[in-house]
Amino acid sequence: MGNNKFKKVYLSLCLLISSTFIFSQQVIKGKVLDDRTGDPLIGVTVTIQGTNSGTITDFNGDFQLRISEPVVLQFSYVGYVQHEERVSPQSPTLNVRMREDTRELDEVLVVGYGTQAKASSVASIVQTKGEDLLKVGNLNSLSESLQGKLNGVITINNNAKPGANTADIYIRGKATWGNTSPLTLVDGIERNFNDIDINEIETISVLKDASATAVYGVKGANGVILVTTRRGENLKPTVRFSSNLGVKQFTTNVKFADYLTSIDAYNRAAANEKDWSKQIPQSTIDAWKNAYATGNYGPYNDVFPEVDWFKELVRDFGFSQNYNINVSGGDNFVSYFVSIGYQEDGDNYKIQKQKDFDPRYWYRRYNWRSNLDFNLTKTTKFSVKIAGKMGYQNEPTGSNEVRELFTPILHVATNVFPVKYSDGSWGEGKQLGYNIVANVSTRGQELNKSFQGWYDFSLVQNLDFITKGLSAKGQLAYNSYADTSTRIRAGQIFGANDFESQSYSIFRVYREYDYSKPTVNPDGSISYPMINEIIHPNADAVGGYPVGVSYDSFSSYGRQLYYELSLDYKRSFGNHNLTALALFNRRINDSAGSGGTFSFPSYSEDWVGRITYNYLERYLTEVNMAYTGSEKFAPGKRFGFFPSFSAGWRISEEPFVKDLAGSVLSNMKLRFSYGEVGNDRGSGRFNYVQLFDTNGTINYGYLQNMVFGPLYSEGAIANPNSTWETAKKRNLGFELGLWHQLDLNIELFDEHRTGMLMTRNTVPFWMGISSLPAVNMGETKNHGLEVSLDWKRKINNDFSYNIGVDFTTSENRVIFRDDPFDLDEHLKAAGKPIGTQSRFIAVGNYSSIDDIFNYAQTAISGIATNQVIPGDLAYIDYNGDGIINANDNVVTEQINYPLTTFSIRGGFRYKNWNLSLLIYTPRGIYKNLPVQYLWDFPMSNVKAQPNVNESWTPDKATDKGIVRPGVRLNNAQNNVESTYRYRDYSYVRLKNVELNYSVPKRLLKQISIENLQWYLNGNNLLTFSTLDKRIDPETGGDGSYPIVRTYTTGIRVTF
Amino acid sequence: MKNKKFIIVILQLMLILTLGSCESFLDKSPDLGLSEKDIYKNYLSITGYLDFAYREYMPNYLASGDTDNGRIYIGSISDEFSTTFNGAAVIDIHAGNWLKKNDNNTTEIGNTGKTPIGASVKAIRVMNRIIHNIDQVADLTNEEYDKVMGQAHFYRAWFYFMLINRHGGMPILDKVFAGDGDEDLPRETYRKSSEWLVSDLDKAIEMLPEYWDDNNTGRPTKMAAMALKTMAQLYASSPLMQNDLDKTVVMDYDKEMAAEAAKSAEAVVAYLNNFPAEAPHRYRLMRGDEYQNIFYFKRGDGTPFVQDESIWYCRRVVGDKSLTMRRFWQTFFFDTFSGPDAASCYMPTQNMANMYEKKGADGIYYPIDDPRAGFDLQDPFKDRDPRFNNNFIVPGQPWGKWEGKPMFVTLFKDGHGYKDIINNSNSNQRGQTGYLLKKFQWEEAVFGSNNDRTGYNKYDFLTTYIRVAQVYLDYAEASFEATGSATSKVPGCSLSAVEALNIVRNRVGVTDVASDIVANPVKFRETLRRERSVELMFENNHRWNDIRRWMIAHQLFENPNCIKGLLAIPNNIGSAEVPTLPTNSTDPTIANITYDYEEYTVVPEVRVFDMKNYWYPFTINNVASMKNLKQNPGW
Repeated sequence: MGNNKFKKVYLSLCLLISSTFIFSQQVIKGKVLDDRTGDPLIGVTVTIQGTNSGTITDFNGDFQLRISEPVVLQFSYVGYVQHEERVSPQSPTLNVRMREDTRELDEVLVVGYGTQAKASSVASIVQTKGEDLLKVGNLNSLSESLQGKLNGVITINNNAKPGANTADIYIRGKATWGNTSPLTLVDGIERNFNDIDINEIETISVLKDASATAVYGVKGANGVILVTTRRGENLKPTVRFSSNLGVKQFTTNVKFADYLTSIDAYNRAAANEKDWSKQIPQSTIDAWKNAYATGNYGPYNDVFPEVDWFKELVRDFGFSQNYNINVSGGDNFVSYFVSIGYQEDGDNYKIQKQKDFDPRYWYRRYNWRSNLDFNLTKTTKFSVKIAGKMGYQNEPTGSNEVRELFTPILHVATNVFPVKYSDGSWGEGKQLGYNIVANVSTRGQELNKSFQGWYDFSLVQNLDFITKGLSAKGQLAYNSYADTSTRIRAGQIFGANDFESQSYSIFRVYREYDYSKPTVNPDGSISYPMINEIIHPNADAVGGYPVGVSYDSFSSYGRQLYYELSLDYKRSFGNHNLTALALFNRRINDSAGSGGTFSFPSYSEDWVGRITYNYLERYLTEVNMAYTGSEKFAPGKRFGFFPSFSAGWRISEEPFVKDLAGSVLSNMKLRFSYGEVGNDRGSGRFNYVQLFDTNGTINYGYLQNMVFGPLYSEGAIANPNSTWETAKKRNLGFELGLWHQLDLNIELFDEHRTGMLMTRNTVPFWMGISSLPAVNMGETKNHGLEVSLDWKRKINNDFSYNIGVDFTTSENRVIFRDDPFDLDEHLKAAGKPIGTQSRFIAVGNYSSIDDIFNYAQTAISGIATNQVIPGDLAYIDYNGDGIINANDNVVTEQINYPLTTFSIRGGFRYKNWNLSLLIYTPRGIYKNLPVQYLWDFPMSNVKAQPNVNESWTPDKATDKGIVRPGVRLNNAQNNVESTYRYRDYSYVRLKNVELNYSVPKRLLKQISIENLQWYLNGNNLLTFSTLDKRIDPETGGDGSYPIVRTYTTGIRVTF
Repeated sequence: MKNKKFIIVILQLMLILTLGSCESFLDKSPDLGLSEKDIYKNYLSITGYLDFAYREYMPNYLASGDTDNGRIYIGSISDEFSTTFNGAAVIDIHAGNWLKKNDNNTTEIGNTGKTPIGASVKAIRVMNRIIHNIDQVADLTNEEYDKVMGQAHFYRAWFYFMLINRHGGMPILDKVFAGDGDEDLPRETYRKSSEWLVSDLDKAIEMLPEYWDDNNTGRPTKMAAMALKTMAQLYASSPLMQNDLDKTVVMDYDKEMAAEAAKSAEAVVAYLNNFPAEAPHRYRLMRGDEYQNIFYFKRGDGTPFVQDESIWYCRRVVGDKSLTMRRFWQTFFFDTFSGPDAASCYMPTQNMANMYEKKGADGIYYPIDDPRAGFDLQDPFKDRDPRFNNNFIVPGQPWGKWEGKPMFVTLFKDGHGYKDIINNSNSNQRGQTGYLLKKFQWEEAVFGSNNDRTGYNKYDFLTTYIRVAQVYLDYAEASFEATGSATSKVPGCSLSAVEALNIVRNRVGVTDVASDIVANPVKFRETLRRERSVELMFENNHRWNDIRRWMIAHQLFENPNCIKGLLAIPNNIGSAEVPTLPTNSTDPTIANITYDYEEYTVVPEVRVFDMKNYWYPFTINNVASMKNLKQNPGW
């Protein structure tokens, strides 16, 4: 049998490897089986305790080893409880049954500057595995893939531009109105993690409470995200290969009212404005009616152009693909993980590649990583990690209007000019720049390249010879990044600045026809005389300027040097378990912006300590402390001490509890932490230095201009006392595990943040300087709740399922923000959530002219009282002064970021089929609906919203509440931020679904493949919200690259 | 116990590490710029600090966009101008609701950024720093000391004057505030505030040079300080300024203060006539034939940067004058641009036109409502005060050339320019007055073919704050209000009110005030005020300040729709000479059109002005923050 043949070859290979290291003695043979099912387990690592020698089990679960004396064999296998078995050369066969680890209590948590067993941890930490993130589908930023994966971590992805879709992350709500982004570290070094290949990731761990974050001192208050990359650990070299292909489309579609409806609405609007000159004549309407009746219209029709820009510019499907190959393994001397990845994210716009340049949006990224651990001696380990990426992000060149393509799609005229005339020339409006297809096709491309290189070296020396359990570590890390961009532009021939003057190099034509003078041709068709022709950029335009390239101009550069020294101590004395850590690090960060000017390097320094102690692993305590400094502040205000204390009680480990409920209660733990963490991100650098600036010259003189100077001016007022903001955090956690199947985790937290840097609000104008110093005076509080519930059940060998729910909610309040003491309560910030939005309260539509003049006077900018018309929105005069102005803006509880999220995850496995899904539900987000989705006639174009006919009309009585205001050309009255414009952006989203099929192992034996999995997954599949269906509730606004839905299929192979 | 020992060892180890920590690693803050000491190095450095305030904070009303005036010409707040620009920031001011919660950066009435108030407080901070720290400047000669301190006191007074004539009495701002609560000061009355600034001016008069050398001309002089003192005292004697902080009601002049002002004016006039002969330039009332050059002057070899009439002016020459002129005073057909620059035109009102006297049959000038003037609306420009022709461009008038052909101002009904304003999206629905401003414009200032804007830079203009004619007008008003009579003299003064007034009238060829008006105090006060408005028309915010300090604004603007225009209706269209209405502004047949004239209300131009509007409000935030700050009445 082929099977046997392979087995022989394989075994002899093993033998060969083994024999290299082990003197040949007695061969022992064994078999490893699943405790429950009795199935053989393939690939179990078998090591001889205290050595690095061992083997792995084959396809039948068999293994053999040579030993010369009695040893302890350790069996480890992913998903199973580690097993130890004593064997002696005298008993050459054994059967081992391994128990499936359903509770994962032995899971290791990555914490700041180390790892801890989850069971004895007292901090609030959530962790996810790289392999789970792979199920999210083809996303090209790591932050985006975290959505819904980590309880208490809220991610918002507001842009899907290839290569630029980084999500905003905040942990446990918001506790500052300054910078809320968490600290991110990759393998212990501050780094941007977005461009890491997910295949390289072992775990992502999020530190939430003070116990976990105190070690990061002045930087940790917003929470910390730790990314740990994979390292080699198996004895057998394992090759993993994955590839996939994704198909993506915009989640939304843009539709407007048809042209005749729009004309009708436009004429009504012009009448409402009493602007009779803008009325579109009946002859035009008739001509268009005829055109529609005869089908004589379209995007390339000279006389009756009708362009659906969405259709012209958006393709049905875009594509993306991903490839990764990695190898891991190791031996006595070295273990390795090496990975190479390629990712390509394509365009959802229908932009064509041109002869001279490629204006399409795309992103191509190459990732590489090599993590090597060398056992230099029995007590010395040296590690080298080299990783990097090279990213190429391409987009059309030109103004923002070109780059952010979506806004013009919403506002450009649809029935004024064709994409191209029948003579092949580009169409254009009366003014230049509105043919979006021409804009993106003719102007050029911009290719942004970003390089990132990470180099880590560390040396760990076991110091058992001093005292048992002591080790020392030294680490050196270097990061560098460089961003450059190449521009290829039509018309850029003479130098960098010529582009702007020649900004539209290819000529375009606007033609206007007189629809009031139709001529019936002999063939029955109708033609209209052309009455106006405008050739852009001017009548002499030759167009077709040659293409110029500015190769690789520099946009940013940075390098960072980090070094760390630490002492680690870990030892048990009977029932007392003690660990301690003392650590010191420094960082020098150099960066330069475009143009290549370096800013002054920034420095930081941390001193960190930690002691954990537990008795019987039942009573747990931990003390963390950091003494960290930030160069942003004056000497004496730089270093702060940040301690935290925590304690835990594993109730389930108490003997009496075990006696009572041992069979039901698999885990029960109560823990509490309290501590202080800082945040220095709100501060500018060198806030403490009072400076004067040199500021130009001046002329005096009777007959001549005499130059006097230099002139001096006072710089921003310094605050020598400025320092970081401090967060005092408390966390109460409760863990419950039942029947090894149900896990419940409840966390209650609160936070009090003080000393937030802010500019005083209560300084009168006669202070005489506009740049006031930042003072540590802001104060907030934040509290919340996190609940996660997981149920896992294995019905039988073929079928198992799991379902889980995460719920997180928090609430914050500003306590102090230097509100003027005598200000009306509704105008104060204190007592209201961070980032409150104030707005007018719309109460209805004016029903008549009398209504307008009897009501409070409008003093809204851009509209005079006599320009308000019936149908417009009426707002509450909140302070009752008879005038509606900014003072009537009322602060509401509604904020524009979610504080409550709810996610449901679930999955089941049937035989080799696996299905998993995630539903993500952020609640309570209120944002202004962009004007392009609200009002008709954007940029004065005859383009009405689909619901234009639901607008207010005189016969619509106002007692039915607010209706859409009447059609207008000037929407100043209705466009102010009001309860009408604010919409609920909450949504329920089927975030991702994955279906996979693992080819049965027995089928793979022949082709020497250990594991082969095919999968299909989808991202952003279904969304439910009350919002206008044309806008995705997660999008950043009308200008962003719209959110996409992706379907991905691929394979994962392990050799 | 063994455990304990280990804990202690570890703790000790950490303690050692911690103590070893030195902050010096972080102590890398570079020398990012100059320190305060560098400012006090010597005469040049302290002057560099002082001059910064001059460059940054002096309001240059004739430079569009220079202060936060943006596209607003300052006179458009009063009844001097109406605006054709839909987006003009001044429209919000016209609505009369000036109170804002946060920092108010609204043009003119706001107090942040480069608004006059916002700029003034910043300049005052600079001056206070200089005045308090002058002793730190080493090696100053006495002359240098006087120059620096003279200027610093002058500027502190000047900028403080800008504050109090807008907000009313203010706290005494005589220190460099640190922001630690020392700024929470009570307001003083206008009188107290004004006395403080006059005391600064007295110091400036002592210390400032009579004239500067050629290179330094443009800095404030002794004469400037004396003229400003006159103006400040006249303001302080005015009805509005007699109000305390509690209420705003119509008051009378303070006769004593008016007499002080008259004496100060007398001192200026006496000094004018005895000005040192060796000075590089003299101050004088320029002749009638030079009148237009008071406002703009040709620049070239050997011509000075300043006219003899200017006593206190902004030496900063406006760079691109086309921008200012197009934004402020020119309508579409003068420039080939579109957009707000072309649309935002400020048009002189009929209200102002009506202030110009007319020569009667007896050769004497009378107000147009005086029957002796013989004014006829159907022939409105005949025999008017010569300054009318200097200041106004009227409908149908030829003005400028386009490609060699004369252009006409087609702001008559249904004329090309008239329709442009109605149809353009930046100005539609806004009415027009028919007039354009001429005072700061020359005919060459139009766009030539190919965007040729050389014509705009043929002349220069400077913002002049105080000129000689104003001193006579100040003199006349102060003398009249102090004595109650046009012909009496304040003790120690050489001129009576009517004598001072006639000097200003006669120089442009307008006859002495008619004797019956001189004898009638009510009529004389009207004439005096009309004369001031005509002579200083469109300059700075004179008219706006005057109607406030005279407390006539609430009456002028009692009807919000008070702004009038002159509608010129072509009456011979279709006749033999002018077959149809010309379609462009260079059609020579326009010269043949005759018009019927009609005074009409310009819509939607409004002026909402209540008693509370006499003083600008403090922002709600400022009032709510300061325990001592009293809001102005009515706000």
